[in-house]
Amino acid sequence: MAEDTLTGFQRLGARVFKPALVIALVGAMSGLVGWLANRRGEVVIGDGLMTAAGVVTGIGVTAALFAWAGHRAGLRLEATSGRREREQAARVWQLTVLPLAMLVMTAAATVAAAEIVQGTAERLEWITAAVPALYALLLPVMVMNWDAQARKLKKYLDDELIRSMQARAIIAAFFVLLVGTCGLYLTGLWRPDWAVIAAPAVLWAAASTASLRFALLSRAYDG
Amino acid sequence: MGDGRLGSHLKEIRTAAGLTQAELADRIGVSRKTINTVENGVFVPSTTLALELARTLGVTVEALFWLRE
Repeated sequence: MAEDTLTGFQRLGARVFKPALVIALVGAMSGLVGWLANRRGEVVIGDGLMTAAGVVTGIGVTAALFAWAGHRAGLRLEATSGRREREQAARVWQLTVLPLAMLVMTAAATVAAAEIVQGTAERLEWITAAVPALYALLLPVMVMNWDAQARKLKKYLDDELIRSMQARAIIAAFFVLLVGTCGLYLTGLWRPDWAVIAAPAVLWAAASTASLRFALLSRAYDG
Repeated sequence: MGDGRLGSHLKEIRTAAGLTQAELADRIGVSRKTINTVENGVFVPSTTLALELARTLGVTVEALFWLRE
């Protein structure tokens, strides 16, 4: 009978490898952007921030190196487990990475929303500020497997455990959305412009909670 | 998801049948993760899944699962 479980160290490695790579990538990209900004001289990024970017990159690379063996063992197990496992693992990876990528868009949307409420916005700012409304829907739709790709792969992506994880992820996101919306409402009573500026962050937080909660549950049940 | 009152012999019966988690999962049409979480008591299967597991392994549901006092 083939080996069908991972050791504790392998399980940890399998969980940590990809997030570690993302951390290393974010650190490296921050360092690169800082270096380019310093070179152009428009914005000066301090040595402290550049060092922090280097440290983050180093931590990410080191963690990824330690996690490599576990990641390989996880891949071997996944390969013996068939297409269902591969499709589910791919979906979990998408749901881990997308919220991080959307964080950049959220920052851009917040800046654009600020320009709109100040009355200095142009067409690009209006489009940028509208983007969070799209991805706030995209992530929960992906969690629920309602997107076109997931519907094609329904027999691989849908089972009892997945439905239970979807319920827990969406409940967590709903709670975050409720708290965030209450905060926006109360802020809006006092400073409506601040509420508009903060709205993209609340949408990101709620959508990402659904996505990341699902991914974390999936990783917690690996092994 | 889990329920401390539910006891399970799934792992022993699956192993005795010479099946891996992946093979059992494949026969039933669920993920290996589902089988793993049921074996570990993290996830309580539905009646339908419990019956599927019992039928596939050739035992009764009571042989697979029981309620702890």
